[in-house]
Amino acid sequence: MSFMDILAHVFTGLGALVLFASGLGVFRMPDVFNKMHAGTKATTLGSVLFLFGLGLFEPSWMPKLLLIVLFIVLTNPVSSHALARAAHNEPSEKPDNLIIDDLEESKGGDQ
Amino acid sequence: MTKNLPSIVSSSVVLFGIWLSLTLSFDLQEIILGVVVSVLAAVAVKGALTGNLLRLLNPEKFLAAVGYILFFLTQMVKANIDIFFRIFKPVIPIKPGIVKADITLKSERARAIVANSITLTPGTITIDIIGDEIFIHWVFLPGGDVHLATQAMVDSFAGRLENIFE
Repeated sequence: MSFMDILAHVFTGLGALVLFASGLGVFRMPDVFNKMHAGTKATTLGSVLFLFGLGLFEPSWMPKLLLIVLFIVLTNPVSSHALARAAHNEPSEKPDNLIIDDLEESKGGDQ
Repeated sequence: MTKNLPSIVSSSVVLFGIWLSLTLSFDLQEIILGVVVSVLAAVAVKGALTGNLLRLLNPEKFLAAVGYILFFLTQMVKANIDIFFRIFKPVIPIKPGIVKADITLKSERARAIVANSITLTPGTITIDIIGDEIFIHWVFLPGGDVHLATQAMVDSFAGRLENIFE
């Protein structure tokens, strides 16, 4: 097994571990915003590590995989903003554990 | 048209880079077709894909951009280590809250980058921007004055970007 192969296994393994943690986080976190933390950060780095490891297995795929990585890093947070914003606008999704909520006050001020 | 020229040139170069990484072929015919398609697409969107990247040719701004990317990557790794150890605790330590901070950057593109960066860094996600205020959800509120701490966190990103965009 060459050095590249070992490195590739390390990266894909780490990526899988981070993705697993992300799934567990979405399952275990109590409310929608905290689920979003696990579902955004960990899936981004997990996919990046996994795709990079895959590129080490097959160096000729690397340019395409890096394009996918770029796309994921640019778009993952955007979908999380959209979801978080929609959740905050929906009263039934509102968690009751927020210690401080400036956004609610700002909205209240507008009306 | 001339006003958009630097943006169109930047978009064409980026699109051509994407073309090359997708085709992975250096055949003359393919390269010519790639250049034509990239330029046409860039003109069609008036360079809005990337904005003006030519200012990065200024060495100071280029270094600032590289510095920002390195800073962002370290923060992203930290964020994942943080969330990783949080998730495996028997009782997840959370103290959530939504805090507002001021964002002084005027450029929409810079604001989008700040919001995305904050989402991918430790313990924070951006929820909304209303006017010049950005609303951030903390998974574990910092000690002391939360508004000061949040403002400092936003400024650590926005300050770096100001050097590049303004």
